[in-house]
Parts: sequence; C-alpha cells; structure tokens
Amino acid sequence: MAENDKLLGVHIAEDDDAQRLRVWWKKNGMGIVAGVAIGILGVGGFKGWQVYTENRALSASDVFQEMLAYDESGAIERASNSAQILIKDYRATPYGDLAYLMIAKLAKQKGDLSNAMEALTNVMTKSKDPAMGQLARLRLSQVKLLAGDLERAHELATTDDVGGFESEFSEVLGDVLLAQHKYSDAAEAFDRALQALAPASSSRALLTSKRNYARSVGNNQ
Amino acid sequence: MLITIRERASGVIGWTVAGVIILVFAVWGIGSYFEGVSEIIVATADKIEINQETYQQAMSDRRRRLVQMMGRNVDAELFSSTAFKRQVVEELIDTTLQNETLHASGFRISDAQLAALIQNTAVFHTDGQFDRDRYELLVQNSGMTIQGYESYQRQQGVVDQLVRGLGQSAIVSTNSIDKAWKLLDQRRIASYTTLEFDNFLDDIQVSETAIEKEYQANLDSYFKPASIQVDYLKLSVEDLGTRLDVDEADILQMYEDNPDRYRQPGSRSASHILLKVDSDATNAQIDQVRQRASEIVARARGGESFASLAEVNSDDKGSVKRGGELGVIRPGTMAKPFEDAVFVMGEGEISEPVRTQYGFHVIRLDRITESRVQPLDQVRSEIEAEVRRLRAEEQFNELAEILGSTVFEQPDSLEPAADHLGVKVMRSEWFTQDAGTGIAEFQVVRDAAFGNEVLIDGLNSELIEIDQDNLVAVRKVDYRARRQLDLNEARDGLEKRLRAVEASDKMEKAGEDLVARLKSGADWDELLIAHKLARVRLPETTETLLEPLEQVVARVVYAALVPLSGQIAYGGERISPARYAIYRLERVEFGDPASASEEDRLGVEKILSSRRGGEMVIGWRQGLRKVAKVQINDELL
Repeated sequence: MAENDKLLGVHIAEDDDAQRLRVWWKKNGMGIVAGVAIGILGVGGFKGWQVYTENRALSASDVFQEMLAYDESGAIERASNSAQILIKDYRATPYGDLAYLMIAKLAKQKGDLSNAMEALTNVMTKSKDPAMGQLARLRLSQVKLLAGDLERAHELATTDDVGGFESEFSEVLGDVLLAQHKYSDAAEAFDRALQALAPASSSRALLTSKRNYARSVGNNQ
Repeated sequence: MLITIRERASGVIGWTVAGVIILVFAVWGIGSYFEGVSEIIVATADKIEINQETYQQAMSDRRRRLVQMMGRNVDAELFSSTAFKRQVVEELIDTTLQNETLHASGFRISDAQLAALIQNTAVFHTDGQFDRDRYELLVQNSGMTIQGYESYQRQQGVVDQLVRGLGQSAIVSTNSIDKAWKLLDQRRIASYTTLEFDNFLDDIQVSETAIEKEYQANLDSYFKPASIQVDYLKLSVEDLGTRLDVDEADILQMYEDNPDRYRQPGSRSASHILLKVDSDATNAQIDQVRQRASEIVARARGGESFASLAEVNSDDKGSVKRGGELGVIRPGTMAKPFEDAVFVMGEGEISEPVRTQYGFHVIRLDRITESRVQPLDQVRSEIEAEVRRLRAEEQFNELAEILGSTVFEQPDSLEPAADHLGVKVMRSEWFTQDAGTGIAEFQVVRDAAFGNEVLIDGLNSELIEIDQDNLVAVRKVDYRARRQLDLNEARDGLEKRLRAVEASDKMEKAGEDLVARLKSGADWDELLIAHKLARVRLPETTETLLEPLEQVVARVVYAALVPLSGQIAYGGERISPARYAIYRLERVEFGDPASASEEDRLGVEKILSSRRGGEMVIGWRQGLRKVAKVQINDELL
C-alpha cells in the first residue's frame, strides 16, 4: 500500500488532502492559469481575426456591387467614389484590384489616359493574384497603344508570363504590330490568337477578319 | 515511462502547455481528427480534394442534362467511356478550383445580396412578386435542398461578380470600334463558279492493277459486317386494339360518362381597343385614361369605325393591324374582367371601358358561338378509338407481365410466350449491328440481338422496350460472322471508290488550270462560257447569303487576300470532295464607321468588351489550371 502511495500520489490520508492540494496549486497554479489565458487569447484571437476578415470581405463586396451598379447607370463620379473606397479601405480584398481596373476605365472615359495607366500599373506590379497582374498588363498595353506609345505597348504585349490569356496577349500584340505597319508579323500574331482562342468566344469572326486583313496588306506590300 | 512524463510535466511550463491543449480540444473537439478519414479521393488540385461522392453527383447531373437534351437517343455506352468520365472530372476540377480560389482570395456574397439575387429571379415569381412557396417547391423539385441551392447561388454570384467586374472595366476605344466595324462590315464584290465532280467521272478508266493494289493496301476496309436474323414476338397496344371487340354499349357508356368532352364549348369573337395604364400610375392618371376610354366608347357607339379608332388609340400593337380583332375567345384564356364582360354582351354591342391589369379595354363583341352537345353519331368513331385504346392499354400491361416472365422462365423458345399472348412468332430480315429494317430499325433491338444472351448463349432476349406502347423479345435464328470480301466481291465498291478519288483529283487539276489561265489574263466570261460553267454573283450581305454552298464559297472569298486597288484577284479551292470553287474578287469595300448606326456600334462594342472583359474569366480559369498541381486517380473513375 505504502509503495503505491508513493508511486502514484493519489491515495492520500484525509487530513493531508487540503494541504497537499494547496501545495500542488502553489507550485502549478500559475502555469494552469497562464496556459488557459494564452489558450483563450490564442483561440479567441484566431476566431476573432476570422470573423473580422469575413466581415471586411462582405462589406467590400457590398461596396463593389454598388460600384458596378453606378457604372452601369453611367454615374461616373459615384462609381469612381465607390472604387476609391475599395482602394483605400479594402485594398487587401480582391475587390481592390477590380476597383483599380474600374478606375482605369473611368479615367479613360474622361480622356485621362495617364491616370488610367497609373491605376493599371498599380495592379500589374502590386497584385497578389498573378492572373490580375497579367490582365492589368494586357490592358496597360492597350492603353499605351491608344496613347500612341507603340514601343512600350509592344514591350508589354510581348511576355512569356501570359497565364491563361495567351490568345488575348497575341491579339493585342497583333493590334500593336498593325499600328507599327508590320503586317506580316501582325498576321502571325493574330493567327496565334486564333489558335489559342476559347471555342465559345464571340470574337472569332473579328479576329479572322483582322488576320485576313493583315495578311492581305502584308502580301501586297 | 508515464512516471517520467508526470514528473517532467509538473512545473509551470508543463502545465501551461497542458492548459493550451485542454482548451484547444475543448473548442474544436477531438472529433475533427477523425473527419474525412474514410473519404475516397478521386482527384486533387493543389490542396483541394474532390471526393467520390461529389464526382458521382457530377456524373449523374451531366447524364441527366444530356438525356434531357438529346432524348433517349443518347448512347448509354457514352456514359461509361473513359473520355466522358475524364471530361466530367476535368470540368469538376476547373469549377472546384475556380470556386475555392475565389473564396480563398476573399470574394463573398452577403446575405442581402443573395436574397436580392433569388428574389429577382423571374421563375420564382407569381404575378410579378417573389413567391416563397413557389421558390421552395421549384428548388426541391429540381432535386436540391434549399441550403444547397443557396450555397450554389453564392458561388455563382461570386463568379458573376468577377465576370461583371472584368466586363465593365474593359477599355474599349472609339478607335477600336471604328476599326472593327471597317472589317466586320466589309463587302466583297465577287463572282464564282463551281466545278462538279460528277462531270469528271465519265471518262475515267480504272486499271485492274490499280484495283488490286488498292485492295491489298486496304484489306481492312473491304469486309462484310456481321449480321443476324432473329425470331421475335411483339406486343403492341396498337395491335391489341385492332383485335378487340368494342360494342355499342361501351361506346354509349363512354359518351354518357363524359358529357364535358363531347360538348363543343361556347366561344366569343371580339375586338378591342387597349389604353395602357402603367402599373405605377397615380389615381389622377388612371382617371384620365378612363375618361379617354369613355370618349372612345361614345364615338364608337356613335358609328365611327372601330378599326380606325383602334388604329389611332389602341396600345395593343398586335391587334391594331387587324382592326382590333382578337379572334375567338374561349373561356379561361383572357383576363377575368375582360372575359366576364365579353360573355354577357350581345353581338355587335360595344362595352363600357373594362379595367384589367393592362389598362382599359373598349370591347366590341363580333360573334357569339353557343356551346352545344355533339350528337353521338358525330363522335362515334372518336369514342370507339378511345375505348379501344383504353382497353388495349389495360390488356397490354397485363400481358407485358406474363410475356416478361414466360420469356425469361422458358428461355429456349419463344413459342410458349407466343401461345400465352395468342400471337405468332415473326421472323426478321438479316440485319447488322448498325442498320436494319422492320423490327431491326430500332437500335435497342439490334443491340439486344448482338448481346451475349441472344448471340452467344442462344437464349431469348429480355423484354425490349421500344417505347411505352411496344415491347419485343427476340431470339437468334442464324448468324453470319464478319468476313473479308474477296477481290471479286469487293470489285464494284473498289472501282467506284478509285474512280471517285481520281475524278476529284481531276476536278481539282482542271480548277487549278482555269485559275492559272485567269491569273495570266484570260477573260472570265469567255473562259467560263467556253467551259459551259455558270457565272454566279456572290451575295454581298449576310442577309442574302443563305445557301450553304454560297456560305462556304463566301468563307473562301472573304479569306482571300485583298487585291490592290484596280486589280482583280482570282483564286480557287476544293470546297468539298465533290466541288471545286473558282472565284473572281473584283473589289473589297470596307465598312464605313460613319454609316454605322448607334445600335451597330453598341453591337461591336459588346463583342469587343466581352472579349476584353467577361471572356477574360475563361483565361483566368485556364491560368489557374496551368499552375495548379492536378492529380487524377483514373482507376477510381
């Protein structure tokens, strides 16, 4: 019996019970309290963070929806305000990128190409989503073409990092080459765009026309 | 060892660790450690797993959609093919990857947005209002739970956000619309002619050596497919019907039991003038319209032509063209107040203004046709057919059961089943697995005849359902295996094929020759007339370009290089094995952006912005897939 007492420390004489507990608590109590406290903080903090980001995402989504509606009804200023809110307060959500893209379009609508370029550059260089980066690059190339900066447009459209936008990049490159009067190269680019085109795309006819046009002019030169 | 742990574990640090562990278990529970242990994973994409249940669900959804689309002609084999399974799993991976990525990156649809989305869906509306019961009913009927449907809608909503976000932010310049319009609205002024392969067939001689060579080279193509002849028993509602006796008493009974069906319902023919009232009109506005309607009533009653009143005043554009006539109105087809008015009016009468949800109607009753009971003699044959059909269907169901079990229980002969049914065993013509006549025109029958049961074991087939009203059982009479044709048997087919190939080549050569002569200056008209070839002008607009042949020619012409101005381009192409087209392209007129209507421009802008916007989502998806590490466990499909 005594052997067991010593070994397991469970069977204790009645009088000693309270005393022993007190000693044990004195020795380990701090640890338990601290442990539970850290645990509560940790778990609570984690859950709290989850709830917080979830709520942020939801309100960003609402603002985004508003922005789309304003844009659709032609309320440029209001759409632009919503986009600014998304950029300022919700840059970390994916709506931030989309807001920049919207700003770029609205700026172009107002004829302000340099603002459009700035917004697109922002997404191109800073987005966490590589696809958004590629897409912004593509659009930047289009805007550069619009602005007549053919060299930079060409540079932007020529890249290996095209993700799933192979067809789109080739088409923009073709557009740039057309503007540079390099017709045969343009025809080739349009050809590549056609080959990579998604089967359901509504752009096949136009792309084919562009290719044929570039080829004709190229051959007649 | 436990003791050592216990000794070491005492002390502040040890208990701190224990405290954390206790709490973690208290919050998440030990259960989470055992979840998902028994799941079978069909495919993984990055860290996303697709389990077998999801895959099976996707398979059956896809199957159901295909059957809905193509009816029962869907080949059941398709569903078990590797290609089909592969396609389903690939799609599932793409969709899952898309949904998970969107969610992980922080795309969300709020409850309010979801509610708006569902409440704005027109199919859930009754009388223009969202109807909760209808919504729940429809969702459940489609085999989904409300919860499942709503989470699906959330996912779709998020994809839609991306589509709209990219679409509306697309940058489309006026300049690019102009350029696109120039190309899309171009016209090519061209003529063409075609050489027909038939005209080159006659003077072709195929040598014996060529035939032998072709035969040896393509032995596989020259065979007689396996064929089979079967005995069959057919149970059909139609046949049963003709063998039934239907007596006068049955017909009379049917006639008397169904008075509604043999009564011609009454109808009215009417014309109307509609004055529309907007659903959000104010009372004052409504009164104003009512006032106008009353004036029209007065003028019509005063003898003014109803048709011209309708033409000037009516908002119902459909009926205006017919002077307001609506034609025959049967009970239950019009708005209630309209109908109530019509059915109490006399012929030629003009009503007071009648208010419906559309607005105010001024109605003139043109003609009354009273309802009347059709005498028995007039409907006798109709009733007899009906009785026959009902009885035959009854019998059919009984006999089908007997036939099914007899055919199965006595698999060595069709005779016992034939005796039961009182019909004769019939014999089919020879047929192959791909084609046949008579009973073998049905794919299901051919499949059964070439199935193991019938072909190899020589037993009766199971009962084959051709359609709801026709059942068949077959058994083999004789079978001829697939066999190589010898040269003599194959000769005819061989010769035909060789001649066709040669004629087609000859046609192309002749075509190329003509094109070369045109290019070097031969006159189009003279040359074609000399060769007895028709000269056809190619229609210049898509509206007039209707013939499939001309559409193919147009494709060739529009792909041709634009000639330098003032020059004419000639070219030719074999557009099918049997036709060679030669064209003369005189001029290309590019579209003029200035002449494009606002609508045209919007159309082009739509193409451009969808290319630069919404369609980008496809690219976005492809991009995800490109970088994802995907693994498919083929053996589990």
